[in-house]
Amino acid sequence: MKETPLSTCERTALTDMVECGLRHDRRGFLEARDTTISFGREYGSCSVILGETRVLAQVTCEVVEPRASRPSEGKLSIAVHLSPMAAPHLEPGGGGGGAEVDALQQVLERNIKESRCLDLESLCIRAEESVWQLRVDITVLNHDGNLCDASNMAAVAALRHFHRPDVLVEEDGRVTVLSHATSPPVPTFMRKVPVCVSYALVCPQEDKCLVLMDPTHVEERVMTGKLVAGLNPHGDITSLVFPGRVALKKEQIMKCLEHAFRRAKIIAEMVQQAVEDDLQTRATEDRPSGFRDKLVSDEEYKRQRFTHLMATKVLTIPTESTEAAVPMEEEPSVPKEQDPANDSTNNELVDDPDDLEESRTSAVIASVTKTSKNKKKVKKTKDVKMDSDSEEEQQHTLLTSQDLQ
Amino acid sequence: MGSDFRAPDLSEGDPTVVLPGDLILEYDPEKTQDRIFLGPGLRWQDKTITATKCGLLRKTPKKIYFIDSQQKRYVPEKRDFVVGIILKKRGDFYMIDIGASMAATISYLSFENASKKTRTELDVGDLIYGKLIVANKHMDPELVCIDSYDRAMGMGRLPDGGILFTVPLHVARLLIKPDNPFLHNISKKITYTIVVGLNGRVWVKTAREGEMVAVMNAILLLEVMSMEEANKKVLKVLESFI
Repeated sequence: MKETPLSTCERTALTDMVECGLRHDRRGFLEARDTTISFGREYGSCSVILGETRVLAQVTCEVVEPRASRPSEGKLSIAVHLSPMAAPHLEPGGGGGGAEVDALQQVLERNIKESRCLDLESLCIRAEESVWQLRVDITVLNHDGNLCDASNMAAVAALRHFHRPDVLVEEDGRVTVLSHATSPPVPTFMRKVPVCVSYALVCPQEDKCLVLMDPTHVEERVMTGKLVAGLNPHGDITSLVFPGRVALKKEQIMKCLEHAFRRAKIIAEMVQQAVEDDLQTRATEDRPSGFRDKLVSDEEYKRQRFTHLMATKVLTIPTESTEAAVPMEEEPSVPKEQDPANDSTNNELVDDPDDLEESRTSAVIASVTKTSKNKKKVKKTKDVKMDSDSEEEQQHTLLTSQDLQ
Repeated sequence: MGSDFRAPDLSEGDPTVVLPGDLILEYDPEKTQDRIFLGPGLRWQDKTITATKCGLLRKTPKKIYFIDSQQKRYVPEKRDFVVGIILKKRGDFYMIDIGASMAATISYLSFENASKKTRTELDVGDLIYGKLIVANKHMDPELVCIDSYDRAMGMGRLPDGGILFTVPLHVARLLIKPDNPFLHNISKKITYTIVVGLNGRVWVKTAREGEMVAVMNAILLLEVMSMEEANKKVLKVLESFI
């Protein structure tokens, strides 16, 4: 089925409202939707609900032969499934769902696989003979925008939650996989928590660009461009995708990244906490209840939201009530265009001479407008990573000082 | 089939639950002078009317029978008022998306005061409010924007501005029920223009953007709340949004 065409009315209504500082669901520009992470009965099955977007991730493992080039490393593969169940316009039939699946898969592979946050060497059973292969299957159950964030969160939580069975290697080299009953399963070892944060860029006018975090499906359809940052709270940027015909100033990108790091910290803590909590309750229960008690229906979720909105009776949901909400103090300053002269944080951030900065900004814009060329994007990712290393250090100091206040 | 035939009680206010295949009524237009109209979920075949969907059987005072079921997907039905989006021009027709499996068409002559010389110009992406006059199984549905006296009666291109959103079909039917005070309750707080299509598309326009969002969210309430509850809470919702 074809996707419903976007009417002029929807487009103008959304951009006009964003210009007035309003989103359809009354969120702040840099406010995320409610996030719920719940785990299934098995190890490594995790469902993430982000507003009305629902994603299910399942990790499975098997013993395979390692690659000849890396004989002592395990394997990790990530597959995304988008079916008409997620949204009626998506094509049925597994992974071959076109550009959307490819883009999503690429972001996830860069964030989780290429960032090497998972210690693949710990998955080795016998070098050159047998290693574990972990496979993450991500199924999108409902598509209401921001699939990158939701599926990244689900995949990471599922991987952290996953326990593989213990193995017994006998002297003649035979490998026996032991069942969970005979010996306790082994947890996966993940050093870092990769996080993905998406921003929609809506441009009501040519020279004005507003940044919306955690876009819904309608916002994603109307937006001119998008900024998807893969990062972790330790200060590494693992991927940066910036498709769409939009030019951003360097300060704006830096502001976004700065905000993304703060958000990453919150998400990482949330994921870790959720996994720990679940593993703890699992240890005490003899039969985990799984999704049965935790998942709410769409109707119930909407009902809760409305009741919540009525109870609070304010414009935006206060920060303390939603675990996923973002600190609000930055909110008014970020979406608007910054005047670098008045902004002290900006001056602290940019320590290069002016001419260098200008040339870099233009380079960023130049590489940004070319959406189809992936190579350029990767190149840019590395550029940003290299030259932002020192800046990230500063951000950390800034961040902690702000947190203390 | 004939032996267990039991015509449901069609008295107002107490709808019966019907399942697909249930016999509703025997109707032979040659024998009786009564004229009845069939709405969504009913089929007339071999002089009997059977249900094709499960839901509540309803009858309006004007003898329109239909089955009220909960669904989001629109199936075109003759005489339905719908909100469509212009897809493209094709010769003397515009192609329109009404949310159904097939695109609908509208001739440029089926607008008020339209002639070969003064034709209504519509752009791709415009919204249009019209009535379905052809809705058959194997044909493209066709819309008109005039009634049988060539008057617009509120139909035609929707003005610029406003906000469009989609609700489940039963919510759309609920909204336009004549005895429903819900829209009236909203108007106590906000002055607004609303167009409800039976295909679940609702268009709202108010003077200010904030009010549009408030009305939109108030209407979206109906999806998760019963009518009485929603009526009680609507003003509170509007207050919390403005």
